[in-house]
Amino acid sequence: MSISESGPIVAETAPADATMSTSGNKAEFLTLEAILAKPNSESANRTQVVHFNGGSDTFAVRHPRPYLIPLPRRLVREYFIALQKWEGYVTEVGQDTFHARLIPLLGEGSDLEAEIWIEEIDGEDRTLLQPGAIFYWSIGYLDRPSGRQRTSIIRFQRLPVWTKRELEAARAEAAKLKELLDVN
Amino acid sequence: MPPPIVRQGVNIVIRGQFNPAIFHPAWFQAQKLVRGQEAEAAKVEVIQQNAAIFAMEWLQVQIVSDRFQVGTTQEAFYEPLRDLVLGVLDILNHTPLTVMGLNRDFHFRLESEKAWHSVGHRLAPKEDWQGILADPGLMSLTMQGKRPDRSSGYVQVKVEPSAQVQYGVYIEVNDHYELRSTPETTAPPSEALKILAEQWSASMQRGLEIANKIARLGEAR
Amino acid sequence: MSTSQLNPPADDELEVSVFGPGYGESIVIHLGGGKWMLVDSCLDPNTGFPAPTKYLADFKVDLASAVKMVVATHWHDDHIRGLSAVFRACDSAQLVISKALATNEFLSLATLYSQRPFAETTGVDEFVRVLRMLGERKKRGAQLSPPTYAVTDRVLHIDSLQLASLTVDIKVSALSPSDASILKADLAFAQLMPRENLPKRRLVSPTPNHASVVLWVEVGQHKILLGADLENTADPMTGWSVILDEAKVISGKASVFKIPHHGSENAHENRVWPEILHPNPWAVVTPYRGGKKPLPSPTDVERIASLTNHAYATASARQQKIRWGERVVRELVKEVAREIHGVYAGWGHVRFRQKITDPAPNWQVELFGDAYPLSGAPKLPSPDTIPHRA
Repeated sequence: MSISESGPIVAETAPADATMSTSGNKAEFLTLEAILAKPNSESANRTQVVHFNGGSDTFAVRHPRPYLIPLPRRLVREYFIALQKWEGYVTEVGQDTFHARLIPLLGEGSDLEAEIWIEEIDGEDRTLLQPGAIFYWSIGYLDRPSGRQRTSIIRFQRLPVWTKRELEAARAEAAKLKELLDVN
Repeated sequence: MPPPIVRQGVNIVIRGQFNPAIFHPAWFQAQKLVRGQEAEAAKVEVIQQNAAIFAMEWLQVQIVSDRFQVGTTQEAFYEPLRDLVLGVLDILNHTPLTVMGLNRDFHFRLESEKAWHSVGHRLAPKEDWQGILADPGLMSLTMQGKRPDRSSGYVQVKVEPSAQVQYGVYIEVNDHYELRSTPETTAPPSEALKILAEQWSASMQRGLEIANKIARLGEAR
Repeated sequence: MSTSQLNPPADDELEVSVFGPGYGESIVIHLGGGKWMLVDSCLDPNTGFPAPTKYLADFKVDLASAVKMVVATHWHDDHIRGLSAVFRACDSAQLVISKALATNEFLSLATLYSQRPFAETTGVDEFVRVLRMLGERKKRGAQLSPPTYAVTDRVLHIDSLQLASLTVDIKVSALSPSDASILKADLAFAQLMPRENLPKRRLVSPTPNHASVVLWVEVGQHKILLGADLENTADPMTGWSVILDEAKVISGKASVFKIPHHGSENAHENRVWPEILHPNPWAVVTPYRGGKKPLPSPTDVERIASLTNHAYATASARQQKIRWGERVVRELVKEVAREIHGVYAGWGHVRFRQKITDPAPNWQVELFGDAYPLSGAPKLPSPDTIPHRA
């Protein structure tokens, strides 16, 4: 991996409250010392190009003027406790609904099949709505500082797309399996 | 029945060699690992060569050069969290790694102050502390045991009074996997990917069962 | 199991047992003399163990030596769940798979999809596990042959049995897939192979199923036709047409018929009944509750019942309502889903037994669990509610 420009990347915004707060029972969040970022005398908008995967992939980030950044420990404020959770996969997509098989992840119960309203799916997730697509459906309570809310969440699985490497590896393994099995 | 769980979370911690600079929310979005709206709404604390710390609606990310940690306190997103890590390791498939922890933490609410004290008393009997400390109380206990499967590593459990729930017990279960074959070497992401793909459900279940058993120590015998 | 279910067959008894929990099927055949063959696998919903090996283990059958053949009629997960555990236990069994699944296209597809994290095992997971197990056995120098590949007219297994002074011949043959079916299956698998930069999804089974293995089992005078999932197609070189017109291993008529593809209309070929089945054969269908339409449909049941008086189903196809444990779950599910139903409802076992030396078909029928007769059956029971605890 290489970074084409030297110097740190800095955050876009500075948190208003710089106080370190202690909350007991943190789940292993780190404590870092505050880092002073020197004002950048060059253009306010910096573009930083980051290469990874041996230079084959490139990613660009544009940054505004840097700020002084103390690092408060952020308290988590929202908790979702599921009462029921399924992993589902889409079997058929219709006009207003889609059909899916549901496998329980939480609690008892056996496999179900459901016809789910497409309008229950977030706009961005609808592009993923295809036969074979995997999703997670959770029902429970979302606890926030503002109060408790009963909630149903459907979220589609997001994994990297198929790569040439993976497809070639599968073909290579298939060839080995075929040889091993002496197909006649 | 175990006491109710009031809050819980999962975090995945991987040690190895990372470049925090690349882990901007926009990178996750570009790799299609999170929704665009989530990435745009992310609250970034820092992203620089030494550290990347930010949060999305359901996701907390903290990465430094030798440690990658992501977590969530929303049970609906445990599997998406796993998928996110699968995706990162899949993309950065040359990253040298050493160990991985699949960790769960819980805050249980015990039914009474007496039940709450019972847990501490069962884990660290107070009689043994008489004459050593006046009015002793359990602040934190960590135990470690062997892994119940063929993987290298251990299972570590921490128990403390909850700082967030009245008469609550905080339990953290660290399901620790040793990815490398010797301490001097590193392992490719494929080892971690295999564990995430094959052991996730078992690990999650193990964490819950351990926590439930400990929380039930508050029950009358 | 009930006490009578635990009675093993006598050495001179032929047995055909069909298990179906409403999503999945599996067949266990006693060929006589303590020799068994297993066809497909499904999980016993009460124990989570593969139904065929659990059944035999309850008889204290030595799976490692008594099971002579394990056949995977195709790779769909409703026929293959638990197959890797079955194959591991049946250490000396010959593995039979469809020739259509021995191609580079299918093997590439299977290895690609077998490593995805899913909550539920997929057909390809099990399939690849079985193949890898074979590979490991071969590496260890085990004296096992590689899989036998089923294709039309291939004799898969020949044996004989000595019953008193009588020698009984045993022969198991494949009636499908045909060469044309293998080609079509290969093309279908090639189309399913994802391309670079496409999103990752679960593998969706192509229909119709060109890879399915139909078996013809002969034990002495008795013939058994196991229809797997074979459907009719417009192409006379595939489906049931090519079997009826071209298959040479068929001799005589079968008195037991495992009805193909859960009794669906697509899999019904009128000619099968008069041409290669006894009049009034003993027939069994396994229901399928996945998908929009449960199978067999009421029309399918009527058709089957009109063709034989000895028709049975391993469980009901009727979709059952769910009773939710948590109110909030029930209410939110109602808002989000237009309809929802359980896939598993009941567990059944249909068992046919016949004396091998008795030349006339005279199968004794036993029904266990939720199995029930289709022919002359009393009205189907009203929908049950199954508890579903959140």
